[in-house]
Amino acid sequence: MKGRASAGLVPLGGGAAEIASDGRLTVLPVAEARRTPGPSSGRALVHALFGTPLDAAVTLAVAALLVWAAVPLLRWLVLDATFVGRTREDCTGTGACWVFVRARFGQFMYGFYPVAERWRVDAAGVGLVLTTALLAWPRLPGKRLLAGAALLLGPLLGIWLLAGGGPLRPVETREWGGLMLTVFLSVYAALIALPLGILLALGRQSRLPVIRLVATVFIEFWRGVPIIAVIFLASLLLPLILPNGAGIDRLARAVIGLGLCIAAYMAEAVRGGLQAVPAGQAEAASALGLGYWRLTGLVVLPQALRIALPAITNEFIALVKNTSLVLIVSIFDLLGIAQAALADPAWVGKTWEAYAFAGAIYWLICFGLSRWSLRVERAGPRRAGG
Amino acid sequence: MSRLSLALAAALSCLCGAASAQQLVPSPTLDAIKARGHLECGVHLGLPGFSFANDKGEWSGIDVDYCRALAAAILGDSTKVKFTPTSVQQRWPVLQSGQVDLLSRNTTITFSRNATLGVNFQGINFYEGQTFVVRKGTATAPKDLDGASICVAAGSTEEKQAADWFRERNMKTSIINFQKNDDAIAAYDSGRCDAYTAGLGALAGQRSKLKDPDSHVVMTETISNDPQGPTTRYGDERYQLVVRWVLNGMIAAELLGITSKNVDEMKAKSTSAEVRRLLGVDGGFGAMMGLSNDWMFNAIKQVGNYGESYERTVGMGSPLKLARGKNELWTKGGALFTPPFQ
Amino acid sequence: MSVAALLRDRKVRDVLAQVAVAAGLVALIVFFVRNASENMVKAGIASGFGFLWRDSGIEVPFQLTGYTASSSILGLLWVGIVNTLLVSVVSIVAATLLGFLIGVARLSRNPMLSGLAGAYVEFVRNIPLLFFVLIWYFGVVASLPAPRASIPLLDIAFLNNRGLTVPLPQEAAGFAYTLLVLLLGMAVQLALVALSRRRQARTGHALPLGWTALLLLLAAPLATLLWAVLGTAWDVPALRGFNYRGGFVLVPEFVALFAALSTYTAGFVAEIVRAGILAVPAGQVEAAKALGLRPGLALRLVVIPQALRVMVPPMTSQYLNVIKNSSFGAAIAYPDVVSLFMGSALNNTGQAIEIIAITLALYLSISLAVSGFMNWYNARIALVTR
Repeated sequence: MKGRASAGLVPLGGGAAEIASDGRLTVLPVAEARRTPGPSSGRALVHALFGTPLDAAVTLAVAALLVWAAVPLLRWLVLDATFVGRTREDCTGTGACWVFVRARFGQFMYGFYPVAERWRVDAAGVGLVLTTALLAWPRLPGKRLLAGAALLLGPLLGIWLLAGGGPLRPVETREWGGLMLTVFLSVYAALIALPLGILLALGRQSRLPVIRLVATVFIEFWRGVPIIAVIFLASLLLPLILPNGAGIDRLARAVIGLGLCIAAYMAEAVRGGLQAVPAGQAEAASALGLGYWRLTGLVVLPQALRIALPAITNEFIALVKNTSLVLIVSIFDLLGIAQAALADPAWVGKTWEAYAFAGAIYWLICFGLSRWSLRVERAGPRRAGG
Repeated sequence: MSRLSLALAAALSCLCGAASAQQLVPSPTLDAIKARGHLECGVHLGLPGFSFANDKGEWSGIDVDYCRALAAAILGDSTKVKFTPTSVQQRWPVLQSGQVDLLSRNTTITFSRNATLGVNFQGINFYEGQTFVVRKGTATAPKDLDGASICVAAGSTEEKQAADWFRERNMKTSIINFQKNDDAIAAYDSGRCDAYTAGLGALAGQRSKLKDPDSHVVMTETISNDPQGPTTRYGDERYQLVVRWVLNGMIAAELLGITSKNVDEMKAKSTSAEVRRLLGVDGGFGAMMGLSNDWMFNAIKQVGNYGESYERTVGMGSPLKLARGKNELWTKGGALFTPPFQ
Repeated sequence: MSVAALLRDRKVRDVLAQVAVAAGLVALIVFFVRNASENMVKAGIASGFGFLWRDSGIEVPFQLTGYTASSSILGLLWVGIVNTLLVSVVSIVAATLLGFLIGVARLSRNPMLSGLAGAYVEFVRNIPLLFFVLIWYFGVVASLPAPRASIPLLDIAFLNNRGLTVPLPQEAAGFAYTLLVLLLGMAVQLALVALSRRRQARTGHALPLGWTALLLLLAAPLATLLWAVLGTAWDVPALRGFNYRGGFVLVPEFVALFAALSTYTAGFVAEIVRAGILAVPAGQVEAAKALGLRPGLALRLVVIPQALRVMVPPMTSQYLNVIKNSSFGAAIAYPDVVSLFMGSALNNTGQAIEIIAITLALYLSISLAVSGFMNWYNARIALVTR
C-alpha cells in the first residue's frame, strides 16, 4: 500500500509522511530530516544576505517588497485606523474602522446568543480549555480515570450549558453563532470523527475482507467528494432519509456531515500511525495470548495514536478551517457572522475590517495548533501527548 | 371470528363518525403545534418589511405578522411562534421534511412548484412584481438594460423570469446567479453588476442594504406578476384550512372595518352578522376547525387586520413607503380578495 | 461440536463478524432508502431523472459549451462540469509553478528569502480557503474600476470590475494548427531524447538536445501562432452601453476563484516540494559532486528524480483537493457544478436526491480518474529495486 497515491502515505527519507486532508504534510515518525543550517553569527548572517551579488540582489528585492507591502498595511491596520467611537461616523481616518469590530464584538463571539445567557458560553469555553489542559498534563495521578470521565461527561455538559434545559433557560441553536459556533462545530465534529476514524482505520487494516472493503469504500467515498457537497447533503438529504418526524436540528446535521467526512481523513491519519507500529509488537502481544480487541486496545492503538498525533492535529486544523463552509447553508459561524455583519445598513462597506478580524482569529487558532503539533512531533513519539 | 369483530368495529366507528357532524378530520400538524406550544414558521433570511431580525433578534415584517396572527388563532398567543430563517435553496426541504409548519417568506406561487414540490399555496398576502434597481442616471426602465450585467439570487423565480424576458426581446444581458440575496446585493453594490433584480416590494426594503441608497433608483415598471403567500406541504386538510382562513380573516377584518383597536367594541356591540361570525360571537366557526371560537378575535386583537399590518411593515408607516397598489382590497380597486365568512 | 466451541473457533467467528457487518450495512441502507421513498411519496415530491431533459431556463454568464437558456438541464450540468475542470486545471498549473518557487525559496541560504517564503506558507495554511475566496471576490476584484474607467491593456484587452475582456479570434483553425505543431514537436523531441540516450551510452556524446528543444518546442509553435494571430480577423471588444461588447469575458468570479485556489494551494505545494527535496539524502548530492557533475546537472539528474518520487503522492492529493475545492466557487457565483446544478437546478426542480447523487458520483469519478492517472505515473517513476 505504501506510496499509493490516494492512500495518503508516502515513504520519506526512511520514515513516512502523512498528508492531511488539506495537504498539510507531517513527517513521521522520524523527525524532520535536515534543516537548513541557520547563520550562527552576525558575520555569517551578513554573508548569507550579501555573500554573492545574486544574494545581495535577492535580499534587496525582498526588502523592497516588504517595505512596499508592509508600510501601507501597517498604516491601514494601526496608524491611520480609528479605535474609539460608537458609530460609522466616528471613523474619519483613512485607515481601518475598528469601531465596527468593537460594536459588533458580541456578535462575532456569540452570534445572536442572548446577552444575559452569554456567561454559559464562557463557562463552556473555560471548561473546554481546562479539559484540554488536563489531558495534555504529563503524569497526572489518576489521569486515565479523569480523562475518561472528562471525555464522557464533558461533551454532554457542554451541550447542556449551551442549549439549556432544567434550571437553565433554553437557547435554540439558531441563536448560536460567531466564534462559539466555530469552536462548537470543530469540537463536536471531532468527537464524531476521531472514534469513527479509529474504527475505520482498524477496519481498513483488518484481515477480514468484507470489513476491509466496507471501511475502504467508506473512506474513499468521503475523501472523494467536496465538503461543500457533504454539507449540502447533510442539510438537504438527511431529513429525507430519516423516518418522518425525526427532526434533527440543522446544526446537528452540519456536525454529523462534517464529522462523517473528517472521519475518513482521520482514518487515514490513524492508519499512518498503525503502519508505523512495528509488527513485532502485535505479534508479541498475540504470543502472550491477548485477543484482537485487547491486543489492539492495549498495545497497538496507544502507540499508533501517539505516533499519529501530529497528523491527527493537522486533520483537526483542517476541520477548523472547513467549519467555515457552513455559511453556505446559512449557519452563521465566525466567517458567516462577519459576512452577515456586512449586510447591516449601519455598517456597510466595512468589508476589509470584518474579514481581517475573522481571518486573524482563524489564523491564531490554526497557527497555535500547528505549533503545538510541531512540538509534539519534534519531541518524538515517546513523550508525545504526555 | 376475530375478523368479523374487526369488521363490525370498523363499521360501527364509521357510523359514529357519520352520526356526529362535528367529528373533526385528524390534523397531526395542529396537534403537534398545540403539543409543542408554539408555531414553527419558515421566513426569509432577512428582507426588511417582510421578515427581518434586528440586532436583538426580534423579527418584524408582513410575512412575520401573518405567522404571529396564525399563532394567535391556533394557540391564543401571537408571541408563541419561532422563526426559522431559510435561504432560497433551503426553503423547500425545510418545509417538505416538516422542520417548519409553513413558509411565509416572500415566495412566489407558481404552477411547477405547486405540482412537483409537494407544496400548496394558501392564498395571497402580497402581490409582488419583478423589477430592477440601478445606479441613478444609467437606466429608467427594463428595456434600457440591453448589454447590462444583472445580479440575482439563484433558484428564485426572478432568475428565470429575467432570462425569459430579455430573451423574448432579443436583448443580451449577463445574469449572475448568487446563492443568497445578500451576496447578490453586495456584488451589485461593489460594481459587479449594472442592476440587481428582485420584487418591487423586496427591493424597497433591500435598498437600505446598499452603501449609499440615494444614488440608486428602483424602477417602477415591473416585468412579471408574482403573487406570494403562506405555503404548506401537501396533506393535512384541516391545518391547510386554518392557514388559508386566517389570511382570509385578516383581509375580511379590514373589509369589515375591524381593527386591533376597535375589536373589543365590535365583538360586544356589532350587529353585522359577518362581523359576529368572524369574531366568534355566532356560528362557532373556530370549533369547526378544532380551534377556539376566539381564533380571529385573538389574531386581530394581537396583530391587527391586513391593512394595519401592511401599513406598519411595508406601507406608509414603514421605511419602505409602498403604496397599496394591487395590494388594496378588491372593493377599492386592488386585487386583494377574500371569500365571505358564511 | 457445541455452539460455544464453534464460537471460539476463529474461522467461524471471522465469518460471523463479516456477515454481521454486511447485514447491518444492508439493513441501514434499506432503512434509508425506504424512508426516503416513503417521505417523498407522502410529501408529493417528484422523482426520477426525467427532469434532466427539461428546459433549464437559466442564463449562465460564463460558459464555453454553446449553452443557452433554452438548453436542457443536462446541458447546464455539462457547463458546470466544464467550468469546474477549467478552473481546476488552470489553478493546478499556477499553484504548482508558484509552489515550486516558494518551496525552493524556503530552502534558500538567504534568510530574507527563506523567511519570506516561510511566512507566506504559514499565513496561507492557517486560514480557511473560503476566507481567501471571499477576500479576492468582495475585496480585491470588486475594487477594480467600472467599465467606463477600464484599465486598457494595449487597447485590445480591458480590465474592469466586470472581468477581463479579451479579443476573440473569428477563426480558430490557425490555433488548432499551433497545437498540432506543438504536439508534433514534442513527439519528435521525445524520439530525439531516446536516440540521444542510446548514442550517449554507445559513444559518450549526447545530441544537442537543448537546441532541438528550442527549435521544436518554442520556435516552430511560436511561428505558427504568429501566423494564426495575423491570419484571422479579431473581434475586439468595444465599450457600448453598459459594458464592453464583443470579445471574450473572463468573469471576475473566475479570476477570484482562480487567484484564491492557486495562491492557497501554492502554500501546500511549497511544503511538499521542500519535504521532497529534504528527503533526498545529502550523500546523494555529495556523490554527484564527487563524480564531477555540475550543480545544475546534479539537481536535474540526481536530486529531482528522487524528490519527485516522494512528491508525487502528496501532490496527487493536492490536485484532488483543488478539484474538490473549486466547489467553493458556489460562494461567489462562479458557475461550477455545485453552483449551477446543486444550486440553481436543484431549486428549480426540487429533486434533491437525484441531483445530489449525480453531483457526488461526478466528483467521485473525477477523483478516481485523477488518482488512477497519478498512480500510474507514480508506478512509472517508482524506484525499481533489483
